[in-house]
Amino acid sequence: MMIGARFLIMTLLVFAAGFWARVFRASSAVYFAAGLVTLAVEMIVFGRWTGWGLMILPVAGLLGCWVAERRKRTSNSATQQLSNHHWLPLIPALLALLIFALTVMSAAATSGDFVFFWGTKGQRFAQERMLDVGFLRNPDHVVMHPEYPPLVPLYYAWTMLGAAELDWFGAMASAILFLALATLAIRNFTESDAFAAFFASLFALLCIRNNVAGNAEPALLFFEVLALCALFAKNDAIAAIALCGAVLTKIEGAVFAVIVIALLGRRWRVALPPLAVLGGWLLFAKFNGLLASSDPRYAFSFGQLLPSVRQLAGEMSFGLWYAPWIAIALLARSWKHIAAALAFLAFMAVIYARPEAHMEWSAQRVLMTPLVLFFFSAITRDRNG
Amino acid sequence: MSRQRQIILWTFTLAFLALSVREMVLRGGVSRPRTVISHSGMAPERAEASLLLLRRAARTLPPLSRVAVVKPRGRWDDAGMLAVAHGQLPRQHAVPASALDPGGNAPDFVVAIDAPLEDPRYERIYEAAGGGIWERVR
Repeated sequence: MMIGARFLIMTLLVFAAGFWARVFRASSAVYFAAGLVTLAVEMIVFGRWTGWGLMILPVAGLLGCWVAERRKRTSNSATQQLSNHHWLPLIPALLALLIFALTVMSAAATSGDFVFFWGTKGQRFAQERMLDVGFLRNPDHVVMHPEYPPLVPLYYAWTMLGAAELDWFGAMASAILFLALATLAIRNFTESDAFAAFFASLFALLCIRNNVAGNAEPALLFFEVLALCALFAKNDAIAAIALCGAVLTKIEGAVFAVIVIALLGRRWRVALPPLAVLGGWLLFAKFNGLLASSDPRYAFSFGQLLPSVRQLAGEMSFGLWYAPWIAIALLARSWKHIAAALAFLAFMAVIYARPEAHMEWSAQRVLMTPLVLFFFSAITRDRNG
Repeated sequence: MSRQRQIILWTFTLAFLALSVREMVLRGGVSRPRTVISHSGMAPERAEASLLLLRRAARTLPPLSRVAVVKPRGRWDDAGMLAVAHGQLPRQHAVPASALDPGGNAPDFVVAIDAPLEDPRYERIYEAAGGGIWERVR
């Protein structure tokens, strides 16, 4: 019970750590994204951290909240907006999130990798109060993917501050929070309950089928959705924050960020922070010997490219007769987003073109990223009329 | 938004919702799991039994004792077992299964998953569906 309460409190403090994003007219989803990015960067830069050292930002954020709330009492527009909202069309989205939550909390959508390394690394980092590079580059730990970006394990470590043991159920439940916040971002951006419900039902289903609870996909999905929403809203600062989060969450997040910057961003204000964070992480990993400890068995093979494309085409069905792609194709119009999705698919075909790729283990999880890009091609058309 | 687009969105939303419910039911429906992996993966019963065994080890073995987790009939998975051990034994010191090999610094305890440990230096002190906990006696 105590472990669960600590996880909840520390997760709520992530919102406070991101309160500085208020200057960009942010919403709660953005606070959470900004909080995660802030804490992850703090934990990497600090080296060995202390609980109180990391607490400074969340506490400052809470004080800021309190001051801002006192000032806001003169203006109640946000409250009015909420109370005027018609809740009935939100029910399908809430239902999708409920089904996802029940499945996750029944331990029926847990990733094996959560037990192998996402949760394990988080617990280790918290125990050592540092991003433990010595532990990561130990040859015995190569199966734990030392080169993976550290945001999710660092988030788990944050929730453990002062304790020896991770709340494994709480960490698993964070998948629900990530999907809920992504749905909220879609709802706020499109102002369409239909799109929010479609997004929630589709990605709840895919998250269950791909057993992603506890690993980094839900966090990556959240950052990707937020970045694309912010780009549509022409909010460069929030897009940059979300792309920083994607870069620090998974290697695919870095590829996503590069594609988005090249095809959709095009403004230096969007590109600079995520590229700086990506460069910083790669330098950190390189200087600490984390890149060298990658498994050498998976070298690119040109001869595997065509089989890789064929198998990828098969995996794209999601075991659902290609229904997610068909549904979005019926609505899609933004060629930029379709091009971005195709670019990501090309990256996947290349990355899986190797003798021991085991595409069947992971491709459908990774395919959620091009699907998100494709999904936004439908939203664009709607907004442009 | 046009009526046609609304129809497409809501039709697929309802279809995906129905498929989600089906998926949840196929995975055993709503339950109160004993471990984080009780209803996931290819062999959930075995995974659950193994995690319960490790939980027992985490609660009963002395803090900082050296513990190896090993599948005696699946040594190919030593690296995976070490990763799991680091996570599930937060108060003990997980060591690689190679510590059991000749010339290695033998651990104080071994958690043997799925099969008995055939090593004369160890005696079983606990047995469960997922395997056993063994203590070094020689």
